Amino acid sequence: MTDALRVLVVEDSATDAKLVIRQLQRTGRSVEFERVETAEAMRAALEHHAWDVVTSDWSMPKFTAPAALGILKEMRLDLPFIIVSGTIGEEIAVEAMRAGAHDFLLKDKLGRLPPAVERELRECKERAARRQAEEDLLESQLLLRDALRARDEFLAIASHELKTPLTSLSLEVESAQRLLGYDNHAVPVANLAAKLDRVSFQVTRITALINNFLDVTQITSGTMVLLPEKLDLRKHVNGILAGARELLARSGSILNLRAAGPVVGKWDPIRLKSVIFSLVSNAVKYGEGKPIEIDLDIQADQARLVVVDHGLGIAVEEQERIFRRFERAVPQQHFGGFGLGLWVAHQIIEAHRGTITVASKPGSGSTFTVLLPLACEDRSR
Amino acid sequence: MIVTSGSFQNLPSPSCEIPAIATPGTATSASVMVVDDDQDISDILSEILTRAGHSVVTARNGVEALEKLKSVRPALILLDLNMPVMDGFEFRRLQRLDPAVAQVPTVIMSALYQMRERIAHLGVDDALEKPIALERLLQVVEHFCGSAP
Repeated sequence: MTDALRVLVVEDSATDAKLVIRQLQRTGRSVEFERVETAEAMRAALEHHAWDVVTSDWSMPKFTAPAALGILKEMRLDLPFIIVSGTIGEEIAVEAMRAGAHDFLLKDKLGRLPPAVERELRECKERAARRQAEEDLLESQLLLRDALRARDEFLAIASHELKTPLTSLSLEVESAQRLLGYDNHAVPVANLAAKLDRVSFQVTRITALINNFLDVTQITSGTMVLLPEKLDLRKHVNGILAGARELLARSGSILNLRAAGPVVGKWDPIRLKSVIFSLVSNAVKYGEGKPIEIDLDIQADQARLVVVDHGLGIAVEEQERIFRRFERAVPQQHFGGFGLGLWVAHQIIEAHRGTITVASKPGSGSTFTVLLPLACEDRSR
Repeated sequence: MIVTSGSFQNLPSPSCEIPAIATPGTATSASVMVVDDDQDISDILSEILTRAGHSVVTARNGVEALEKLKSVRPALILLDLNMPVMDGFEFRRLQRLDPAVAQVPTVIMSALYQMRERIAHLGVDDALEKPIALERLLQVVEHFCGSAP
């Protein structure tokens, strides 16, 4: 609302309109106004300008107050509507109030107009605030509903992802039981030992997945806190790769880490481990047993980590999608097999104020590039 | 064992018309095609089925499976759904369009939430819910391939 009171006067008499305006000006406020006396003119005035209040004569040659009220309603405008009439009987007054007029007064008692306008403006403001509160409530309900839906979807995806290593795990265990059940003397120890190795590998996979899910819940609830510390990324990557030896051995892929020197910066080691592990397992999973290269260096004031595989590659439409979270637009059965790992990686790198991108051509492999500012301040989200 | 009664009834009985496929109950080993992108699952299934006397062919996605089906005619396809390159849904769609392989019995293996509702339209012969119980796996394979020697 500007300082000037903007009044739309529905009135066929220019003199009467002037009287209304003069009365309002007496309060010391400047008044802007326009006089209309037909439905079309009123519509045009309402469409082209903002108004604080509408006053209206009850009956005019080409227009009436109820018709004017009808236009306000039809245009969904909640403006104080005050009838100013020379002749208004009790019945008409009741009818007018019923139709939605906020007040009515007689032309010979215009002194009541300024306080009536002030009161109606106040009430109008209150109504607007109430409406806003209702809209806010509705919006937060919608947000809540979306959040619940996202959580349901997350649970569905999480259980789906867990069941993959659980399948291998349970089949390994059951087949070992079966072997022992048939004739336990005939089962070579080496055979069982290999099975147990695979069992323990699946347990590692399940643990990594659960950590990933916990990352997701922290990210979505906004409670992920970075705990940056001085870190040599080369050492860190080497440590993670040592832990992924089994994964690599099983895939047949040879992994080559190329780093000319230490890459020292300040990052959250646990979060970065999750990122690097995701990128490596992704390269292994889609690398088709071909060599995987990791390049690590410093470019300007950023650490650069590049993970390259020469496997299946990623279709263009999927490249856009892999860093995004399970979204409703994508049917659940088509989350591409990438799961949540890359989305989590993306979130963690963003929290470090870095970037993660992918370049890929189906059939010739994928290149994931992470750029990390050397000094990361804690940007808890 | 039946996913959707309609789809099962509409399909030929396991004593298939395809000559290369062993009929149930015979002692000859029949081949199973395992289509799954997870190497570990593929490995353990191969081990179990081989030990049970079946020959196993593996494929990591729908494209590979279709390629291998040009030269191999398995008695049964065990099909994962969520795979890169070509998922199980698309594979199944293309498989059904190809008269040469449309009749090969196909069993879904998936951990998909509400799997049975979601695969009803695929017209498959059965479904194994992951994690797969070994006993049930062997029953299903035996049903379609016959018991191994």
